[in-house]
Amino acid sequence: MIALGVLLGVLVLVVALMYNGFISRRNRLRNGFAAMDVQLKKRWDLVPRLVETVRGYASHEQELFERVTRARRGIELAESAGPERFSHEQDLGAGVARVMLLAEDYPELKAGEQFLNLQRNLSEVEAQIAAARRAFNAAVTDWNDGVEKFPGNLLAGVFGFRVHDWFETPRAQRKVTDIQL
Amino acid sequence: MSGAPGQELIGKPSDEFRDLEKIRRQSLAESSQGAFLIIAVWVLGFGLLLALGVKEMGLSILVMLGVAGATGWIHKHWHQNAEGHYQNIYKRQVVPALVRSLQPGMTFISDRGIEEHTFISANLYWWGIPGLRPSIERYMSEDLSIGYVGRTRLRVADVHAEHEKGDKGDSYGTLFRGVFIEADFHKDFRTELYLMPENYLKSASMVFSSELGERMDLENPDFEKAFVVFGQDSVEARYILTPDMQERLLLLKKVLGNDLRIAFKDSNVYIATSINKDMFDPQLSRPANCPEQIKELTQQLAACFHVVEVLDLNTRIWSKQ
Repeated sequence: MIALGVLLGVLVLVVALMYNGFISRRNRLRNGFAAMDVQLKKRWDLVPRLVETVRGYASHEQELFERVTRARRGIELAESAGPERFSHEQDLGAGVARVMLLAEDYPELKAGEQFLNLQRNLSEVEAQIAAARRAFNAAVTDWNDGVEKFPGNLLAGVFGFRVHDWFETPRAQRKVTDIQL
Repeated sequence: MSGAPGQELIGKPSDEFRDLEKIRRQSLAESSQGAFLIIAVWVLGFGLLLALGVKEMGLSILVMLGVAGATGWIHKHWHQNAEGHYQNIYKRQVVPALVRSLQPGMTFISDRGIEEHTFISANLYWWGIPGLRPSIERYMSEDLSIGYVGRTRLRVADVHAEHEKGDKGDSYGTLFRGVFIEADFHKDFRTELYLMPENYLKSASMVFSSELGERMDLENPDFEKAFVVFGQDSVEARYILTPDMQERLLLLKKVLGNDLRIAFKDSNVYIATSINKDMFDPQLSRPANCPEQIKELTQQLAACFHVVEVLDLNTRIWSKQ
């Protein structure tokens, strides 16, 4: 009877420790997303100014500007940390990179004070997003390891913990930080 | 400027080098005279012992060893004084020209260094329990190169920091000896980040590592093997240590040596590379215009200035101008 009690006590303790481990990982995940969200929001705020500045020179690229605007609106409507939001963020990042590349064809635009300022701000935000994304993905890896590895997977099933999506960035977006002033 | 940096100084029989060579020969002669004098003292001492008829061989050897120790010590200081005199003049006349030929925006000042408080605040080396007793008892810094490499403010200096040794506190041990570099980082950041060598986790300093922040794991396995990272903010750590910057820091480790410690603080980067000799010093035994010596000094200086290029600090596309 005592042995059973001890065994039960140990079992409860192990489950409690594992559960707390999951909660810590989940908090790191949420914290990682919140840090990334701040930077994504900064980019979201910069996009209208960028589109307006470049549109004046490249009005024939209407389709690109509409795609960027659509992605921006999609982010506003999407669930906070879901795959749909990540997909819109990726579209916005790729669109912004293309808009920045457009400036290469317009030396007057490229030399303008307003555009230079936007370019610098955008480079900063993209670098911050990249850093936050890596921190977030590290937290996702940690969380997913807990959910998928034995014996964590047993407890994850009971409490309904599921693997989380990584936030990846399309190759085109990397080019923004390569722009030289 | 034509050819490789420092090339214009190599083999040039200028008046400056002729004067320097005279000073070198004088210093060398003084040092040699000291050595002859010491040998003379030895011979005289030995002769005196024989003349006085000391029969005890053991005592004779002891006396001779004592004399040898004392005269050796005197000679060392004699030599150091002679060498120091020559080096001071050489570093005032030749090294500044080398520095200018490498980087026109940099200036060399041999009798100035990086302040002790800057070295201490970089937090890369300390001794004892932080806050309870001073970490560094003796500090010496000289051979300062200061100025701009491109758009990056840079300071490089020789540093020798010592801690107290023994219970009586009357002897000193070397805490750090090598080159200390302070450079303006190309991004602004708020928190602190430290990169310690891979063997750091085995050292006693590890006990106080909480001072440096939390240990962080990054994504590059080679970088993880080369450095132990401590920081306060995982996002900002990655903002500073981009995948590209991690590769560049690995390259920097190859350029500056394995015992490399780096701190990112106050939007600056501080680099301490441990080298067990004085850098940027000419040798008394080599002619003043010795091409190998000029090449070596040029390489030492170039390796330090190269930090800016290796870490790509002149690329300023972010918010910091």
